[in-house]
Amino acid sequence: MRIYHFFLLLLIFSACSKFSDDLDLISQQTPTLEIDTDLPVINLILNKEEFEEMTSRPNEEIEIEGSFSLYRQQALLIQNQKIEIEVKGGFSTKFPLKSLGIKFDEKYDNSDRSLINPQRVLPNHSLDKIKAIRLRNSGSDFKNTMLKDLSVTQLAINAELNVDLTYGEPALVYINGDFYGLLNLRTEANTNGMAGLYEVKKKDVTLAKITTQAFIKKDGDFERLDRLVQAIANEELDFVKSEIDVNSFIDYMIFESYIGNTDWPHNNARIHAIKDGKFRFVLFDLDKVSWLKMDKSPLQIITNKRLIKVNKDEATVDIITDLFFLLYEDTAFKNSFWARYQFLLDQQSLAYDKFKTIVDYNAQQIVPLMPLQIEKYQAPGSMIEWQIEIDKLLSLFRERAEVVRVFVENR
Amino acid sequence: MKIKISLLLLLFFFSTTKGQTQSKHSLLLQTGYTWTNNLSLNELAIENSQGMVLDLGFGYRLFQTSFMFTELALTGKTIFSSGQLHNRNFKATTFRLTLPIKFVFPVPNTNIQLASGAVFQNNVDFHEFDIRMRDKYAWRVNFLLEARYLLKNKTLLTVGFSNNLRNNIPDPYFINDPKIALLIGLQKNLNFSKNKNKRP
Repeated sequence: MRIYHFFLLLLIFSACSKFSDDLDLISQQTPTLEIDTDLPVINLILNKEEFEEMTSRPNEEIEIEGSFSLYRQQALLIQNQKIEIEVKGGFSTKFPLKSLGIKFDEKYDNSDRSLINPQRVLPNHSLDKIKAIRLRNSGSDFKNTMLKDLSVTQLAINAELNVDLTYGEPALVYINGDFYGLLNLRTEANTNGMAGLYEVKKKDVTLAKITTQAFIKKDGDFERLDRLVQAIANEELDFVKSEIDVNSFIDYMIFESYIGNTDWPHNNARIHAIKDGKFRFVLFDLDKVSWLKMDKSPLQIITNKRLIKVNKDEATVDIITDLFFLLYEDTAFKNSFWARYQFLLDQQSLAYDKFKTIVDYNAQQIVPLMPLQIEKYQAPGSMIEWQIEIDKLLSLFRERAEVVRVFVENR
Repeated sequence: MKIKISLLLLLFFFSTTKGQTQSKHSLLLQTGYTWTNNLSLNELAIENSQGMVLDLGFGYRLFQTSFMFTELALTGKTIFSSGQLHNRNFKATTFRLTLPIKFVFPVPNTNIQLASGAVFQNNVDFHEFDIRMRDKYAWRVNFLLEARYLLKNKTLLTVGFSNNLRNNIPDPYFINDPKIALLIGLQKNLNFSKNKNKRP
């Protein structure tokens, strides 16, 4: 090891800080079910021992039964719905506040928006029937803003992008009447979630997910998925164009590359088709956006980390990148991609001001409750650290937006 | 252009080096006041952003020419900072390891030395095992200006001023480690001479 490596490691490891602020002055609420808040308040009735066992072994896919109640403005809107619950997430399962997947016994009728009530729903989506929800701990943003993934997704919704995504709002969660934490109540990005958005049965959905490990066929017509992957590998442009919802793909690629999602496209990507419809793309897990590599062009973000290959019999699993560059060779697609990019930038629908409005609104919603979260989990460690993280998110997003604007205009 | 100028300066620097890389060690201790003007968080002004710095470390003389020498140091900097946001007080204690590189110019026929250089340091906390430094602003570089007066017994009194050089770093990075610092301290030169003639 050279001497400068030693110094570099020392500099990296020797950095820490401890913040403190007047938390007592702002923590005026007691965390009971009757708490005065505009957020939904969820109470899960679970067997204590089973819950502890499930959360102590988060990667073993232990599922337990329980019941679900929800209050809004202190009114009980959902009472004792039977549920199955399990710990969800990968990296984020190591946090003390776990992400929980909740599956209702029967599809819940959400036509009155009692279960989940996002500010806006895209015209081609429905939230009337919900089979499952996710209570997210905000993933890798858990110790930071707690609102990054939700806010970035809302930006895509407000821009009316032609993508599939998850809806949500912040919620206070209790286990057996005891405060568990501030989580994000979200619809699912899996087969249940897509079936709900398009009001079809689960068996009508073909879905596969791309993770850092593999291309995983989850549900539906596996032969169709295999054929698509093979066609991408064999560069069968016409077949691929006939199977892909190209306009949806363009919006999906624009948004992910615009926000600078560095945990994508090699991970956190899902494709799905409803019945014989074309394959569309699911936007989810956006908690690592505008974080690093902000100076990269959209194409550099799309090319990011092309590391993963499956076994010899299959084509590459870096399917999103390969698919994009296959289509990008087609002049019509290439022109459409950049024309749409320019249109969205000109329209200002993804601009910093739009994002800031969303973040400010979400922060305003959870600010009275953050002291409860801080007192219980010290994540973030203090109110000032939470505000620092929100400012960083906005600053870095503004820089990213400017980098992309300059690149698209001068390309 | 910048690279060419740097290369010319390096060429000049090495051409005047005596070839003598005699090791000179020193202990450094500095303390002082640090602050940032016009700091804000999400458009809300941070008031009274200030703090106290305590800097303790070890210096090493690298090269020496007829009129200057270069000094590399490694110091542990602790910052006790405070401020107000929304009429709410906050405090922070921050530790950073810094790597100052100084060019020192002794003033002939006096006990005075003038120094200028740069201080490299980490700008974010190390929370997780992640050496990829994924934050764009993970590093900070401060400009350093210093005057030293030789007291006695190889002890120097130092007075310094440092200011952040990366102007594009967003404000949140300066809340617990402000931009500007005025420092006063002592530097003790050490000689680790090997006494080869020593007999048992």
